[in-house]
Amino acid sequence: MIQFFASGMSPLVVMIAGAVLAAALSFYVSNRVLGWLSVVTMLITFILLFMIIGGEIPNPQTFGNVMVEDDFAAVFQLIFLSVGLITVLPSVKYIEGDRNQGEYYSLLMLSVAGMMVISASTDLITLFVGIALTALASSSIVAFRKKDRIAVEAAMKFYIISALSAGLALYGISLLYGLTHTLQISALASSLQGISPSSPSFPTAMVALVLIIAGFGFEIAMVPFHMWAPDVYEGAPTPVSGLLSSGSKKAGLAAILKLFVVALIAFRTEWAPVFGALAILTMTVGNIAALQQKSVKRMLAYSSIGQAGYMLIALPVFAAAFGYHGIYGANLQVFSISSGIFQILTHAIASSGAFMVVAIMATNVSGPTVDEFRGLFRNNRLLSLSFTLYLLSLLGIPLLAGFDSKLLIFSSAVGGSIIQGYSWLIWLAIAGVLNSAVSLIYYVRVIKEMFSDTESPVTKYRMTGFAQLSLWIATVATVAIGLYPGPVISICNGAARALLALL
Amino acid sequence: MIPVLDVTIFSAALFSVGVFGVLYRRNAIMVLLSIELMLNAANINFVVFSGTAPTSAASADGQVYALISIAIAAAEIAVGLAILLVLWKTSDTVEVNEVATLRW
Repeated sequence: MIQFFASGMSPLVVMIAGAVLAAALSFYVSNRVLGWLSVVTMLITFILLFMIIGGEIPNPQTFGNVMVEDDFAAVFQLIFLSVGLITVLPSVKYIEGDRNQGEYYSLLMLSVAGMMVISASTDLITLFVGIALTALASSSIVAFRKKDRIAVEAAMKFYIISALSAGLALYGISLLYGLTHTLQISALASSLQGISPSSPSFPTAMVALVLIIAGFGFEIAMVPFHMWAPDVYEGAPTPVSGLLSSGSKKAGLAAILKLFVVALIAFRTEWAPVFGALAILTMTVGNIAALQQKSVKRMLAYSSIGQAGYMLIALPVFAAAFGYHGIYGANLQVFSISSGIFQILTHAIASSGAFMVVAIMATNVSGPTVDEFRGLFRNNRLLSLSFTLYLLSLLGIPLLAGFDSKLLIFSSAVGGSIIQGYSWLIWLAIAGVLNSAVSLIYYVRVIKEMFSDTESPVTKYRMTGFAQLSLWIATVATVAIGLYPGPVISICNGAARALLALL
Repeated sequence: MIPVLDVTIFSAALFSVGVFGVLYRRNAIMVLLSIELMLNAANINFVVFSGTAPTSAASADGQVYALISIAIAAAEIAVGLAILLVLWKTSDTVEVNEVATLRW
């Protein structure tokens, strides 16, 4: 028993065991017990992950060359689990009247387990299995209300897009295998070194690169592969939208970090400008499209597309810093990756919290419109204040977590811009700041509605203890990380170093 | 033995047919089949490249990947057909462009 919990695989095993148990027990126990089961499973996994990060369980541990449980994996697993926990707590109320609740909890935990596999994989086979597990579990859970036309339509779109992205990425991976005859990401990194722009296999490598960028671009809803995201987030059960926007998108980013920072580092001069341009495009399109949305759920969907643009800044900055030994030494390499991970973390918490507020207020599938937020503060103090905090954190107001992470990611872009040949990195920082200003408009519009006076009666939304707990977790995390980011940043640095150790 | 290049051209053609099908066909079942073609094109690549691998371990990598991705494709189709079945029940159609309550 002790031996099992001392293994780095224990968080994943506990998660999968919980998922299987929830599905199996659904015939025998009440729905309440199932909710408790999934919460307890996630809490046990949480404790195990904290022990891994804290060093009580030795890390890194490798598992037969296909997985490694290091700081990088643990930090990402922690992010996915926080999102899972924030999502599952209000779900208990959200799916109160539905049938087959065992499947809901089971699929939710399975999709979190799939994300955990992605972040721990060091081999493209494991990576692909993790992606498939996440995609299958989450597209089934989007269709959870199978009588609901909109939900099923969203599930169909999500399913087709995730299968398409898997197909594109798989073909790209097969070409990489043909070039190198290996599927280990660290072995790929060294074998691809030999391919220079003049060598005959270079065009094949570029085709593989383009296919992999497109495949994972769909996964993380990067512009121009983003058009499915708002529809799917709008049609899915709202807690699941939170899981998709803050969980599976971040899992795609973890996979991108593993693939591009480690496996495809030889082609950094080729992919750096691509990711730079796509990052600017993604943040601009996401934020401008969010301006016109009436449904808050759809607005959050576009805002999370825009936020993915900020996270992508880490990639070109890392490409610039790699192999550069000027005044920064190797520090900028760690700094760029760690600020990307930090941005992923703060966005995951704030955006899943915001989706949960929408879930609590939901009366229909599409969720409340901006008008329904008018005067919310009068009757729903916790709901409106926490929603304000999440939106301000997404916006990047000082003293909240979102500000710290945006500051770090933009300053890493500015720092990278002095490197020769990469002076265009400054434009990433400029575009990021301008986009934050644009996002002010739509975030503050909702906040203004919440605190404005209204004659008409305001609904008082009833919250279960679980739902309140979920909002408190997200609120406390947002404020605490904002006020005292030091420990979290050092954890992110550890994660970045663990990722670079794979090189 | 069939030359590697010929098989690679075949798999590239299969992949292109798949991509074309996903983009062009409006029937969701056909889209599903096209995605299958894309996955199978990749599987063919894995198998043919594993034949040219320098060591048996490297060769096993590709074959294992092909086997695993066949299994995943089967699971994917099971979920996909289930989703299309409930789509048919709720909307009476599996034409992708007729199912458009949510605007793309």
